[in-house]
Amino acid sequence: MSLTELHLALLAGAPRHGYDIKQEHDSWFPDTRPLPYGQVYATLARLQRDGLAEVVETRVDGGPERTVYALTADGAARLRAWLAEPAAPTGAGAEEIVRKTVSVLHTGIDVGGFVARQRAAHLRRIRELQATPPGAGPAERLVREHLIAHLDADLRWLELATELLPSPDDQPTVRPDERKPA
Amino acid sequence: MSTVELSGVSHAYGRTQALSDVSMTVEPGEVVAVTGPSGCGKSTLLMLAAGVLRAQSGRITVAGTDLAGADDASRARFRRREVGLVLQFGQLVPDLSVRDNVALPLLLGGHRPVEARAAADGWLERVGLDVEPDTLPADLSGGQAQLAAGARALVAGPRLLLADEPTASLDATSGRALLDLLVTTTVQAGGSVVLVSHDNAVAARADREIRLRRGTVAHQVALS
Amino acid sequence: MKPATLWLLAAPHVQASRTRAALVAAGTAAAGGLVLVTVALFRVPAFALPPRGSTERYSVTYDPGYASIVTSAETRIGVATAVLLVAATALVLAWQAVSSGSARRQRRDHALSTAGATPGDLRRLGAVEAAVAGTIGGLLAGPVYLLLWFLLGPVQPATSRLLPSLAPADLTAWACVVAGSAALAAAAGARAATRRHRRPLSGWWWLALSVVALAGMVVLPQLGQGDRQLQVVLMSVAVSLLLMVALAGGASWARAKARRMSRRGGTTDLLAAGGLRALAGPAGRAAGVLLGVGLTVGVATVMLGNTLRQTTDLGSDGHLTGIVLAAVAAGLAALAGLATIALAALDDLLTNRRGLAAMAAVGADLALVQALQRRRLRAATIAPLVTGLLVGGLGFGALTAGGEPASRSDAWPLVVVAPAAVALLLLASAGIVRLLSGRTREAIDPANLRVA
Repeated sequence: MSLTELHLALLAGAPRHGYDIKQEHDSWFPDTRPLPYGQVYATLARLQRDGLAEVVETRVDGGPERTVYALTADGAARLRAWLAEPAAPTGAGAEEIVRKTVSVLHTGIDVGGFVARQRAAHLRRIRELQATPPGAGPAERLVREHLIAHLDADLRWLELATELLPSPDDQPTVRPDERKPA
Repeated sequence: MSTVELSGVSHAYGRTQALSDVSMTVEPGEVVAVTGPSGCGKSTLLMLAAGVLRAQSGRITVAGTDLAGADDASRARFRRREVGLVLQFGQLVPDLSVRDNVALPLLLGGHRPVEARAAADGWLERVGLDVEPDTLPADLSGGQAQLAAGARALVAGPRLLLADEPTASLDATSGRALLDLLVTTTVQAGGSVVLVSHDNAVAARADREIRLRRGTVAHQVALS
Repeated sequence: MKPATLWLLAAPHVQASRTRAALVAAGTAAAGGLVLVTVALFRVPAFALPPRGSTERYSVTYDPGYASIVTSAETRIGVATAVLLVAATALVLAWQAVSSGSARRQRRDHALSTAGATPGDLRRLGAVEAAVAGTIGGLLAGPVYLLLWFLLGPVQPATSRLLPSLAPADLTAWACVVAGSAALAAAAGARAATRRHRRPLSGWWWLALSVVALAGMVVLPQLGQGDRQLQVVLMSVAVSLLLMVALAGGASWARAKARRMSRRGGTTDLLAAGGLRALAGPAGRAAGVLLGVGLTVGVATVMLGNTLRQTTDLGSDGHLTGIVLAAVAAGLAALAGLATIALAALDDLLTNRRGLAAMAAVGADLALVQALQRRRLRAATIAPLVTGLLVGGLGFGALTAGGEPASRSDAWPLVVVAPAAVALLLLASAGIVRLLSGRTREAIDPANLRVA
């Protein structure tokens, strides 16, 4: 699971407190299980312990006290390293590619490069799967076709991601202000 | 020497810019997939490399021939000699039988009709097109026409095989069989293949992917 | 479909359909004018020739006002047949313009049919469209006749006029021509708009019909032995029969020719064969016309040989006029025949763009495509022309020679005329291909491949 890196992505745009992070996560992934508060706070504590995030402010707006976290330089580097690796081209457990793509689009970190790497990873895997070893039975071929169909679906979905981009020329690496309000 | 070399190529249809400042190469024995959403300029790129269209600016060299400087007649001779072309929807000549359509590159190249037709029959069998060779294209299904177009592209043993959505009208199994035949035949003879497609199964057959987006190269990645 | 809708759809909205309508009108106008000329011919006072062997051969036909070929009842029928032959060719051209579905019209009919127009609606639409052009043509036949009358009447020296002065009968004939051409055009338009899936008659049928027609040509004139006027009438009937068979059977012949070229020919033949098969209808009509042209020129050539041998005869002057007229008529018919196939080739260029562009994409250049066009034109025309020349010349020579051994050699000018006619045809086909070169260049443009 890459929840750690996902939290880093959620913090990439601007400093946030725990409640914001949960809201943001739930809006990024409307179809997944809402993120429990307990998990958010536990992850933030772990990030702080590992030096990936730091507390920048403690805010009290009438209600309960809120601790605002921000990425450290190490945290930003760790996030970039995560996004520099394409999601594993597997048929099952496609959650990872969704997480990375959504994070990339939200943070705006090297979208073009990410798409290229992800396509390459998937196409390479399809290429391997297409080369059915001689003597493979129909059942084995069928399993391969199932995987290929899933990878193909991933790639088609990824194509939508590219179409959402404004233009290949003017991509700033990070555009925090383009995020939707939670 | 690269089989295909494009540098700074631009092309427009009227006021619609199809390609702007595209540069790419294809090496001998290499299989390259040109992919991208519809209207990204991939078919235009293929037509330019085939010498069918003439680039409005930039330099195109294919198999040692400078296409930008060649006139219509010498580009036609170049196509006969060096290029095998599989176009979208087959694009057979409606007046000619399937056999003569396949034999066309040889006939144009000056081979004797008897030899050209014998070769055509052989290729019709290899692509698995099971129809009477005297059938006219109007009586073929889309998939059959595409198989015939594949046979026509291979019949003259081209140094560069260019295919535009070569499997679009075929089911998965026969599409992959045709693609395998197109690629292995050409590569084994030392030729290069450029596949234009938005089908990922076709793109995966390539050694390298060149992705186009709105007339420019979005990325190039090695797949092998 | 309501009449108002028919009118709306039948009006020529685009340049292509205006050109088509103009061709139909021009063809009918020419044919109508020539029919009026034929009708007027029969108003010239005529005399029957005395039986063969009479010493006063030419004295009776002498008339101070008219050329001898129109005052002699027997040659007049020959002249009328020649004029009607040219009229028939003009009608063939008009039929070609009616029936060749330019790409746009086919698309329109298809769209109308998809939208719910019945085959009957389309037939009525085709009939109205053609009838309008036919009526205009019929009206124009009047001026055409006036022009011809002026050229063949007043302009000629007072001793060799071909047409009588204008009379009220001309007006009546003109009215009939207008009504007739409108009706004929409507019928042609309706027929052209009907999709037919007829099996073409087999080659054996055509062979049998041709044998019957040829036998008729030989036998019918024999029936009239003794009565020369009846002989000429029967001869004209036989020739018309042969021409009808030639025009109707042309398509089958063209298809058979295409098959032979595809099987046995070289590369150019093989590639041109496809185009010939696709244009079998118009190519066959052109072949029929050129067979007729060959026959006419063949007969005229032998007549020329005959005339040259008898230069001292009083009647040679009149015969020369007839020969020149026949040659001009044959030349006009040949032009109309070539125009028929050129029109079809143009239509093919407009409808078959993707096929030609695909051929170009595989490596055919403009020069090659034009070589194929020339080959197709020549394949459809040269053999019928030569056949006509030989059958007409040698056949007529043999028939007229009869008991006069001296006239056996009258066919000698064929040695000059036949190669000259073939050379003219070669030039004409090259000229047509040149005329079409702009359209051809557009048709092989690879941009045509982009349209799905």
